[in-house]
Amino acid sequence: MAVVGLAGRERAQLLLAGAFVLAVALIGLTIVLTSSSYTTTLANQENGVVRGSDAVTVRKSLDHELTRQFEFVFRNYSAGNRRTPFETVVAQTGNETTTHYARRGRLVNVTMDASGAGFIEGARIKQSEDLNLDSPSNVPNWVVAEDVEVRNATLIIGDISDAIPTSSPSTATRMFFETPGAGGDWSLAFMEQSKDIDGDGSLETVWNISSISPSGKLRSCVREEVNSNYEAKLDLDAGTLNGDRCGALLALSPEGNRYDVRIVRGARTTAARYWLIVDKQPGSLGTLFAGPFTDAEPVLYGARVRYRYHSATVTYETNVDIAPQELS
Amino acid sequence: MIDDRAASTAISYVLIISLALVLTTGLILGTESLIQNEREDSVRQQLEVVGQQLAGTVMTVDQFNGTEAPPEAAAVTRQFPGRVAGSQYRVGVIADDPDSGRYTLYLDAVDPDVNVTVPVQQVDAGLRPTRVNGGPLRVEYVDASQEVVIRDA
Repeated sequence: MAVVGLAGRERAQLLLAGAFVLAVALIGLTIVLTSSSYTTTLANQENGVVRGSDAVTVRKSLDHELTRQFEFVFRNYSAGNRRTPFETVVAQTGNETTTHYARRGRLVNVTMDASGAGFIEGARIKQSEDLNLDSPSNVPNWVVAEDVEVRNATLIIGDISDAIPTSSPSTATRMFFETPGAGGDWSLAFMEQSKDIDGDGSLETVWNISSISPSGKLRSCVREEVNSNYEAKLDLDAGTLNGDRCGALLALSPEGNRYDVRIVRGARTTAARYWLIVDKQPGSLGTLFAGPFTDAEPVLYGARVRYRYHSATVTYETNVDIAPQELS
Repeated sequence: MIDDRAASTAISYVLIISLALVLTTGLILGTESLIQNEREDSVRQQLEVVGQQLAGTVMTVDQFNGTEAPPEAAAVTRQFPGRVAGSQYRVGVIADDPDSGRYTLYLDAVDPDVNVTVPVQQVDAGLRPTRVNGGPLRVEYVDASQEVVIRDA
């Protein structure tokens, strides 16, 4: 009986030890499985607000909305009366945005400098009649505007001189976008050339618009001859020629960079209209051109608003420039 | 007969003890191996989740710089776990090709030794090469160096 009792105790101890080891193993397994479950939880916690992309989405949404409002004000109010309506719109939008996001625990706001310093005054330079591209006082090499950012640069070419050779960039009308104080100049050349387009041996007159990059790379678009029956509309922002994409123009990017805009041998383009909006007021466009600058009027080029977004995880404050793309 | 029964009891006892030991040892070894494998998988999965979320945050902060004027304040704080499946880990940045905006986030756990890499494509700002402990992290844009920086929160 004593032997059996001893064996029973030892077996019990062994079983206890085994049970203990098994329990530890099961606890370890539970921890691993819980950890695996936590991975799923961690992955599901991700959303745009936590990651911060919500701040970018709201900023783009406000930018789009205020740009639309800016365009409305630009089109429906005269040059001197655009500030107050736009400031009112910004204030309303800011209040509504703040209220909307406050309910969700976020501080989102858009405001404008009360002093009016947020407005960017610019000028619209325009030639609305079919004239040559020399300056208003017929200077053949003139600077349209100095050190400006250009938006909505559009030219409508109605005729190229047949009397003067314009078959190469060195003899044709050139429009330069020169980087102030440095190299890196882009230029456009408006040429007429004779080409055998059909391959039948007969030469036809075609219109060639070329852009020349700072490194000298030449890109061209060829269209039918411009004359009284066919005019060509060049949209430098969109990079299109009469609505079609033109490789020579697509390479240009007048907006977002500062340039001196110069026109050389403008008389060889005998009929043209143009308009461009620049971020400087008429009085400070430049001094290199000769003669009075009669076709520049003040416009509201853009506005700078302050955007703030604060949440539990995101801190974001920046200025957003409201600058519509296609105002003429 | 009594001696035979006594001998039989002793042999049975030894056999039972031996069998129990073998079974218990096998169970322990098998369970340990299973737990180790499961733990490595858990660590890898959690590092991948943390890496993907951190990469998304870094690219979002890069977009904060998408305005003409540089942002005056641009930061996102993420509450990542300090340990993954019980293991500490570190987060680092490798600049693969800064000119084209290609970087790699690497996350390595201490025990078990598991490494995970996540590619990051920056558009506007660079990503400063760094190495920080895992846990709450602050991703911010530094305008002076035009970089996105990952710091301990």
